[in-house]
Amino acid sequence: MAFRNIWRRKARTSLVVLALGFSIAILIAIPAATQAYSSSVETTIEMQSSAYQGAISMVATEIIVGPPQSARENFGGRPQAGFWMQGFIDENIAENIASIPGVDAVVPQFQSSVQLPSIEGQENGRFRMNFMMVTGIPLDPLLDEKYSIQPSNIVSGRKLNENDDRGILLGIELENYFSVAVGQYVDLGDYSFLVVGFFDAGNRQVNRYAYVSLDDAQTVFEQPGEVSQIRVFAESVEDVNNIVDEIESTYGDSVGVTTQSDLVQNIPGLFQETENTVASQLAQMESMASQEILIAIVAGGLIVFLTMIYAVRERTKEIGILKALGFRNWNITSQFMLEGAIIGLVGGLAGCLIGSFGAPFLSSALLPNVSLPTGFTQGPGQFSQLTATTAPKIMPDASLILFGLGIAVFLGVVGSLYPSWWASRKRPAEALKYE
Amino acid sequence: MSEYVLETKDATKIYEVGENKVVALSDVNIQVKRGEFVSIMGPSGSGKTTLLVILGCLDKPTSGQVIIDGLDVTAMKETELHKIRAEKVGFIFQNFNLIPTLTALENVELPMARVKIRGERRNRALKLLESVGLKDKVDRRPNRLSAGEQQRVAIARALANGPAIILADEPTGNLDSRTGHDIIKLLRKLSGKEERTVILVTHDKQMASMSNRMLSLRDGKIT
Repeated sequence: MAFRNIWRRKARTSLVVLALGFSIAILIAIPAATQAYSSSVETTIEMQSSAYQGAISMVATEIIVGPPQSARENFGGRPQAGFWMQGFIDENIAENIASIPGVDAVVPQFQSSVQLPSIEGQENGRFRMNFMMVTGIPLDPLLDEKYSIQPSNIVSGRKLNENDDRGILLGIELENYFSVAVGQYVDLGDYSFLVVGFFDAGNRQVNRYAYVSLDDAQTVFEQPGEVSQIRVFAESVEDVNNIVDEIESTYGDSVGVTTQSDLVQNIPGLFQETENTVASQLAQMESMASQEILIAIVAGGLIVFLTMIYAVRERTKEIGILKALGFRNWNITSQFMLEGAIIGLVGGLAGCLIGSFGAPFLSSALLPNVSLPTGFTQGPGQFSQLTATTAPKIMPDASLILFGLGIAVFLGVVGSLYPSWWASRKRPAEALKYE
Repeated sequence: MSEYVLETKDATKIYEVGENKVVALSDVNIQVKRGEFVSIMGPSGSGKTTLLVILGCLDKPTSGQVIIDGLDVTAMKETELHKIRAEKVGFIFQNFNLIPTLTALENVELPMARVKIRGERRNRALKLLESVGLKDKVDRRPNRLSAGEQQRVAIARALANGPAIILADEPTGNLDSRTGHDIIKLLRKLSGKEERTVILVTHDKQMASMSNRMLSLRDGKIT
């Protein structure tokens, strides 16, 4: 009888089921989304934490030996035949440093920016660029593997290897500028270089870098035996101070020595900041989620309540008939409550379906985006933080679906409580007169 | 045991409409014996339906007593009245008042829900429908039955729990005269053969003339 009464008004029942379904869908999709985001953030933070540890131990062992501060001021940014030359130090210093106890590796680098002419018609376009940075590096695969001397994200071609004479690895920005492909040549000064590959560092500035062998760089810029800086890697963090002391006592003011200690000190702060940002985003998301869930529950209950009020009013005469036939108040109350529970159950099932399949859409429509840190990447000579919005897989689990169904039935019963009580209290004579 | 199956003693019903009081029944005293077929006549607003409602325990008199099978129902609580309505009284309405979502058979089974077990219900309902000539239409819903057939279903439903009293409120009001005549004959059969007390409220003198006794109501008083 309850089923038939519910199905008596097909359109109304379908709408109520759909509306209740959406409430329940929100009820299960939103917690599923917050759970998914929380767990994704947790995983990311865990991964990041270990990445930090690795990065810190790696970066903390690095010492940069370059020209003294005064030399950099004198030479830095001074144009010389289309190149901006920086200060230099003697390449042989690298060999001496390598023999200091506790030094694991030394990487002498030559670096110079090259002014680029604008291409006609593209001054205001995306190819407009004023310079490229050419870096000369030792072509040692083992060293590269351990200390990432060359960029690692090769998008076409390959990295430089020890056999590359006049080979060049270009940042992806330069591919467009030079309009070249792997296997073709670009000119640097008076020399032609074979393009071996392109890399994408994820950073527009760094994508204007070009890598060649140290010898080639010294030849192009006519600075044989000179390097811009020497990256010194200590075997452990404990060795760093001894190595710095040894270099400073040997070379005095003729070189400048910097360590990454400042950067290393900043990392935990950065990490904490990221964690705090994400935590605050999650808290905001959870607060909004709670409000939306509350609204969904109230709306769901209200939908059932209003529907049952309407159903009771519509069937007042029938209530009178049932009373005239000897039905007790409880029989009538339970009849309407059963109808409410069935509507709740069907609405709940619809909600679980909508919620399961539509959770990603519902959560993206109803919740703020969470920007999740994806980790740190180490660019050439720098340390940068990348953040990105990631969308974790959102799927309500079985317990959430059962919870949604339970709430739907509960709302069905509670929503029909007052209307059914009101119905049962009607005096039979009065109810029979009702049209 | 009382000689009368149905009795009223100074039954008075006053409705309050706003600040006004409307006397629907005034000191009504009637006695009806078992198996008697009594018709109540009177113009509109004379209190016929009010009397029937009070006799059927659907409402209580403002003062006075209604006694059914020796039990003073005016002193009973609502919870006890359910039982009286279920077991002692069967109602037949002018508009049939069948439940539209249920079949003829289910409508007849409905009052038995509290009294009989399922198997018995089905058999008894089938027998009752057969007795009112609707054996072939038991699975039809009210909207697929004629007015006369609907009233027959209503009569079968009124008899479902074997009540001592059948209260019929203008049962022929919505029927053509021939069908109405058949219905009254059916009620007469109930009072005669089955010894059920039938109280018939009607406007129609011809229908009323088929009863054992006629009562006339005017301005809430038996005249």
